[in-house]
Amino acid sequence: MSSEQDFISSIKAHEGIIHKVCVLYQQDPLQRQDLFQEIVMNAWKGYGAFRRDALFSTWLYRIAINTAISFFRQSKKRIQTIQLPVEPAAAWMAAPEDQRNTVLYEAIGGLSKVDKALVMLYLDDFSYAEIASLLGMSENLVAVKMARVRQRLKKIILHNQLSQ
Amino acid sequence: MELEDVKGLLNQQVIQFTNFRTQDFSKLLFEKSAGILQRLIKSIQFEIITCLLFMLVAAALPLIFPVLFIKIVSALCLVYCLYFGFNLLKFRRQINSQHQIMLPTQLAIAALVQILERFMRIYFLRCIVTSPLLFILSVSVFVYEHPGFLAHPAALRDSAAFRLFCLGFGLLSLFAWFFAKWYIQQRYGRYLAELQQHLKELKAD
Repeated sequence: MSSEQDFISSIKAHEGIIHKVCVLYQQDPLQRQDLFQEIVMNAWKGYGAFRRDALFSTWLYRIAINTAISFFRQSKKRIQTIQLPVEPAAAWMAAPEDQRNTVLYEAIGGLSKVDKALVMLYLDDFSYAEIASLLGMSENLVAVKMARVRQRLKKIILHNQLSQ
Repeated sequence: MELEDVKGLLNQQVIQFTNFRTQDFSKLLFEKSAGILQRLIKSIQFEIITCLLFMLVAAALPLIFPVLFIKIVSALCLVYCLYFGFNLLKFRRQINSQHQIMLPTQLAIAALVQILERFMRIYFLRCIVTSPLLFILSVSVFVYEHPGFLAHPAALRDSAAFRLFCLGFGLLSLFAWFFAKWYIQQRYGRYLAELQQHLKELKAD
């Protein structure tokens, strides 16, 4: 099997990783497509240096996250920041389960690029040690940031509920 | 509310996208990149081509006008273009050889920041050096064509036309300085600031 075919079959088997990154990092379908292409191209460029002793999925995650974080469009519109309330809202507690998930999912979309990476790896069952190694952070910092992310998500969701 | 609850939703969305995607991966591999490094490489290539064109002109001029003055001016231009051309070429090779995308995120972003800062420095330096070089060359051409001023430099210094020329050149240099700053900031500044912010976040304790 040629290197190209080998690469394509590996990437096809792990396509979900790239889609996951694209879905979380780009809301606009066109930009999502650009990001997808960029990740595949970067993975192809680096495939020659890929060491077989590492997991392909972990390697692909690294490339996908690095590409997504450094992906930039000149025409990108700036997102307005909002003041988050501190008070809890009863409305959230009354929301049906699937609606809560959608709100939570949307809230993740409002996180910073680094925090999104943390959440995504966490959701894909990576341990704090693995996340730290992938992102080049200390394990302690990962734990601290995850705690902050949870807090922040809670605040965003509560704010959403309050404003509805 | 638990973060884990969203896992199913995310996977569901991914499946939806995977099902709709029918693009040929092998075609994707050879598409043009929209990434910042590709844009940077294009800028560097443009700069290198400009340097090469100037070098060609500088090399041809002494052959067409074989006088000492032209030879000196051409040599100056050649040294200038060689210095920046060589630096840009070396830089371009460095960008191509680096697989920063495979490093842990913090190191990858730090490498990108370093590359961008270096390019901005080289670009700005080139703009700053060009103005005085052009001034020296213009005055040299003028003195060469009017050798009488060599014997009486004070006459040149006191002439209103020369003062006006200096003023014009000063203003032009000032404009070039601001333009270079604005252009580089416009093209890469916002991106660099964003990357620096990510880096700060990845390092923060």
